Amino acid sequence: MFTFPSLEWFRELARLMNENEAEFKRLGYADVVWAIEIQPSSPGQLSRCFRFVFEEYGCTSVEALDERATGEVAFTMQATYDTWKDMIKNIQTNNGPDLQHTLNYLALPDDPIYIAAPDFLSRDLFARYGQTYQLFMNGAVHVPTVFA
Amino acid sequence: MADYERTQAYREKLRNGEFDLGWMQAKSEWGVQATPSKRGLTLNDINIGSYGVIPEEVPDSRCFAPRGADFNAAEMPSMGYSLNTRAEAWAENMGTLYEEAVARQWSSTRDIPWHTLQPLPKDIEHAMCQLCTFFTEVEFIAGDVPGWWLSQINAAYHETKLFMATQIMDEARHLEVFRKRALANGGGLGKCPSEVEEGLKYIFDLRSFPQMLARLHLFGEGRVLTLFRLGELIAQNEVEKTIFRLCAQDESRHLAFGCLQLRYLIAQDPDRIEEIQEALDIAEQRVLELGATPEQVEPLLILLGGGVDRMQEGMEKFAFIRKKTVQEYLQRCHSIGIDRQERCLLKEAKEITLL
Repeated sequence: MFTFPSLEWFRELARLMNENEAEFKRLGYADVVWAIEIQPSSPGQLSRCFRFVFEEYGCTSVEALDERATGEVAFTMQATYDTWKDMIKNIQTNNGPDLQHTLNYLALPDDPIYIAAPDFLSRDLFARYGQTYQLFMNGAVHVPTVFA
Repeated sequence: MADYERTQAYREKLRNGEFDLGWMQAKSEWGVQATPSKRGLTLNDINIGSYGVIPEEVPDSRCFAPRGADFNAAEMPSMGYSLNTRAEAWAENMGTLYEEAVARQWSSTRDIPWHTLQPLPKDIEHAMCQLCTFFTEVEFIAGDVPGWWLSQINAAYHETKLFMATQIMDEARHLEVFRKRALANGGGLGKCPSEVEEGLKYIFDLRSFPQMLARLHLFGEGRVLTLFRLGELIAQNEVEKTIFRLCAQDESRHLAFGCLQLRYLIAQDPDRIEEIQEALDIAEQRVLELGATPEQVEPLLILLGGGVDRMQEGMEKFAFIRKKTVQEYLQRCHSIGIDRQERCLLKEAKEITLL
C-alpha cells in the first residue's frame, strides 16, 4: 500500500508510466519539469510539493520539492489535499476520471486546481501536454492507496 | 537563369559516354557526422558546423536551395520570398517545437473512442454540433493562413517552414475531427453566419507576418485554446473530452510558435512593437463588432448551463470564461514584451490584475 501524499506514492505513479511506455509513446514525447503542490485542507496538515521530470515518454525523476523552489519548474498544479484525494478516489472508483474529475475540468476555473507558473508561456505547457498528464494521473487506478 | 546550353552540352557528353562529376567538388562543408540523440536524429542534432549557422539575413537568395548547400544565388530564379531576415522569420526553439509537433500527431480516425458515443438530449446535441460547425470554420482559416505565409519564408529558415507545415496538418485534423463529431451522433452541421466569416477573412488579408502572428496566433489561437479547454470542461462524454484535450495540445503548440516568434522579433527589433499593437487593435475591434452572434454565443450558454432552459446559468459561467480569456491574452502579451492592458479595447481588461 502507498500513502497519499508521499514521495513513494508519486514514484509508484512514475514507475507505472515508465512501464506503460507504449501508451505514452502513442501520445508523443513530453519534455517538461513540473510540480504538484498538496495544500493543507485542515489545521495541522503541512503543504507538500513534488517535482516531476518528464523526458521523452517517461518520468525520469520524482523528488520532494521545497515550495519556495516552485519557480524552478515550468508550472505547479496547486490544490488542497481534499481536492487531490477526491480526484484520486474518483479515478480509482471509475477506472479513470469521470467527466467532472479530469485535470482540465478542475483547473480551467482556476479552482479547485490552480496552475501557478513563473512565466505565462510556461503555464501553457499544462495544456500542451494535457493528454500525457491525464494518462499519468490515470495510473492511480493501479496504485493501492491509503490516504494520510 | 538556368543555363540550357549547359544541359545541352551535358546531354552531348552522355551520348559520348562521358561524365562530369563536378558536383563532387561542391564547396559546401563536407565530413559532417551528426550524432543521433536518444530519440533519434532531430533537426537540432543536424544543426552543426556551417549547417547550424542561421543567417541574420539572406539578401540575395530567393530560391529553394537548402541552407548550407553550394549554389550561385545570382543564377537562381526568385520565389519572391518576402521574409528574408532571421529577426522576422526565425526564433529559438523552432527545431524543438517542430520535432514535438511531429511526435505528438494523432489521428481523428483512430484515437477518438467514437464507438462510445451515446445519444444526447436534443438541445445539447444541437449546441455541440453548432459549436463544432464554428470550430470547423475557424480551422479552415487557421490552416489557409499559415499555408500562404509558409510560401513567403526564405528556405534558409527551414525550421519555421517545417513547423508551419505541422500547424497546417494540425488544423486539417481539427476541422476533420469537428466535422466528424457533428455528423457522428444524430445531429448535423449548423449555421454559418457572415459575421464569423468576415471576422476570419481579414486575417487572410493581412500582409505583414508579425501582424499575422499577432492576430492569428497571439490573439486568435489563444482564444481558441481557452475555448478548447472549455470544450473539455463542457464535454458530455469521453469522445468530446478526448477531442478537446488533443486539440488543446496542438493549439498550445501553435500559440507557443507565435509567441516565440514575436518575442524574438521584439527583442531584435523593438520598433516593430507598434505594428503588432495595431494588429491587436484591429483584432479586438473586430471581436467587439462581430463576436456576439447567437450562433457563436448560445451554444456555449446551453452547454455551460446544461440545457436550453439553463442558459442564464450558462451566462454567468460564460462571463468568467470571457474574463479568463482576456486575462490569459494580456498575460501572454506581457510575457513576450508587449504592454497591452492600457490599450486593450475589451472591457474585461479593466478588471484584470496582471500576475
